[in-house]
Amino acid sequence: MAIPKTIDRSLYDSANVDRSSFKTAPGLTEAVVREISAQKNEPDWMLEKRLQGFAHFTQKEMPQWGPDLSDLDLGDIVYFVRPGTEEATSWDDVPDDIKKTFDRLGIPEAEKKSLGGVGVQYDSDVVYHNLQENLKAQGVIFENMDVAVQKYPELVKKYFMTQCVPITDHKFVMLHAAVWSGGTFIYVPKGVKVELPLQAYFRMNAQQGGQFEHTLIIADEGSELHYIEGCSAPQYAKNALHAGCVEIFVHKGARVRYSSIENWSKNTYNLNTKRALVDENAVIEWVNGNMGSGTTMLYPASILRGKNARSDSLGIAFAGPGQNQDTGAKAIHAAPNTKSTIRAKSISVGGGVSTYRGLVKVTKKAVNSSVAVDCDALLVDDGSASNTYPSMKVNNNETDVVHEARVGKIGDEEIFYLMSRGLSEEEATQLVVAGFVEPIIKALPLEYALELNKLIALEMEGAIG
Amino acid sequence: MQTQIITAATAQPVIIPTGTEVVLIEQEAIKEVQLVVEKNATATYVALDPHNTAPVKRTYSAAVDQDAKLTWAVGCFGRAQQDCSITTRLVGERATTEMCSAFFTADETHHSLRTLIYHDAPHTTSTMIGKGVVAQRGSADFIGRIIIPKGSVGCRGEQSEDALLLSSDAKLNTTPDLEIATDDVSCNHASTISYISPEKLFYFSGRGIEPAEATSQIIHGHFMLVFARAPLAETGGCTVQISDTIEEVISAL
Repeated sequence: MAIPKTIDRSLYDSANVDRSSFKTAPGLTEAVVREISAQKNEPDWMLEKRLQGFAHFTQKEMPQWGPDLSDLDLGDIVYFVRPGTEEATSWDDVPDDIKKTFDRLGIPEAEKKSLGGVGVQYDSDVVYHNLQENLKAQGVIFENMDVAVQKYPELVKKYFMTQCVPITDHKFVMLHAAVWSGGTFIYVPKGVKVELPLQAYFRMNAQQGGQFEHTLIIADEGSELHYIEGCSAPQYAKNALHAGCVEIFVHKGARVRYSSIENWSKNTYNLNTKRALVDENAVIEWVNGNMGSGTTMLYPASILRGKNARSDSLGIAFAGPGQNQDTGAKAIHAAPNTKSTIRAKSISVGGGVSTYRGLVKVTKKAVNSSVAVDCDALLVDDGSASNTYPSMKVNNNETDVVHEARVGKIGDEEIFYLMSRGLSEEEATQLVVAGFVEPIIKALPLEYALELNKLIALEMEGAIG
Repeated sequence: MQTQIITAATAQPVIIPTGTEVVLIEQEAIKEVQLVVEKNATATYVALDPHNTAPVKRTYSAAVDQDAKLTWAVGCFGRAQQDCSITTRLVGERATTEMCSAFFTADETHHSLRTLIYHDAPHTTSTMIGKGVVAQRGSADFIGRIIIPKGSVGCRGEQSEDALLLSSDAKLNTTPDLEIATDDVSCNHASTISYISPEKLFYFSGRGIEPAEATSQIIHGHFMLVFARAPLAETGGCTVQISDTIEEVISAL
């Protein structure tokens, strides 16, 4: 049977009334950077980091590769918007309009049923954060990133934008370093296994707003964690910008699964950076769904720097009318016996453009390593486009690298067969697409799998036939 | 089937007239070659030059018309740096191309090989086969791209790039790209980068074949798909010389 469409786009696209208590003027200046830091009462070392990021940002050119960013006016973005409420640990203390938004998105319900902890961010500030008592007792830290700067300065100084994603990495990381706000800080102590996933949800409500949350995850030796991120924003006439940053440290023998469903509105530029440093015998698993945004540039990277480290990356990108999904994955093998797999799927429909852009690098040290990359692209109609740009750089002769990619359309025979069983052409197409994305869906927790399936059905509605 | 020798003095573009069948053999490294394969013509262009001792840049381009077929067998086997670019535009319906290219680099030589196919017309077919071996401190860039623009319905494109690295100092960058803007197509690519593992050599030794001979057989087998496109009678001497170059490097490993 076809997937029931029990959600509609207004769930994500409708905005609340502006309730902000403070926001900076559009555009970015040193004064704005200083104001953000002052609003947060940050220590001098963090202000210094922001100013360094800003200095690099002003000197760096816009990237000359990938999707067209010429309509993104960085001088028109509002970089900091306070929602006018303090962080709460009970949903009862969250203002009604904000709580209703997250109720509609199903966050409190999911927290009750299947999560170990939840953080939710509204524009630039985190408005709710909670962690199960038993995890607190085991020493697990799950905090708003702003709070972590104040409470755990030594840990943050050591890990925040230093070795994983340095502030000089690229233009939008420099911007992020200057204006970051909110996000998640997680520390899982040695040997602790967090059995229920922790989740953060990022909601951007402000018009022509920007969201720059920072996620820093440290999984100490032998620990285990599943962390989930969801994101959305309302639809406005003016462009919005999301330039988040995710840094994950997977120490010796640890295992981290990072899942995200990014569902920004179509007027959002999603220029995001995600990277993991993976130590000896450790495992990072990426599960990424990119549904929304007008333009996405997102390539989660794993740097396998310890012996026997492993990375598995699963990604799905959906490009509908007016969307350009430029996504992919990177795996850098810098130690012996390392292994990476990348599996990417994309669907282009209604004139959408999806691009797989990936990098595999095997250094001289990474003997006896193996890499497998598999890309599948589905073109649902004429006028949509699919590009594949994998890059493989190998400097080692004891390595096996395999890459495969396929681009094709839905077979007429498949549609005919399903229609002969009573399905409409639209239902048949949706069913084939649901089968196509199944390997990704299976890797998600049930609630998110259902949401992703419904989102795909919703986005395809009216785009077929 | 006619045979035509191509030298630096050959007038460009080289036109393969309607309905003819021609084998074109390049006898010296030429900077630029342009081919026009007219309707229903069949052409094979062989440029497996093993002689070059000075750095060289070569650019090959071709337009293939309706129901015509063009096969390339182009190699970079010299001991000096080579930069080679091959572009085919399938401009007529049902045009076909097989673009077979190969490189072997050793010492500290760098080879750059770029292959590009445009499916400008509907129902066109392309096969891109690339084979490379990097030995000693050699390095190579290996970039292949198939482009199917909007409106080119019913096209088929296949691309494969396979490389062997023979030394821990060897370096290879490979990028097999696809750009597809129409839905009624079938296009895929596959790429491998591998090495001659001790397990493979052990298998050969179990059949009485020494490691040097086994390495030679594996490399020759690796290039076989490209050599097979070059008609033996006209180009046999050339492939023998390439074999000698390969043997010389293997003996120094």
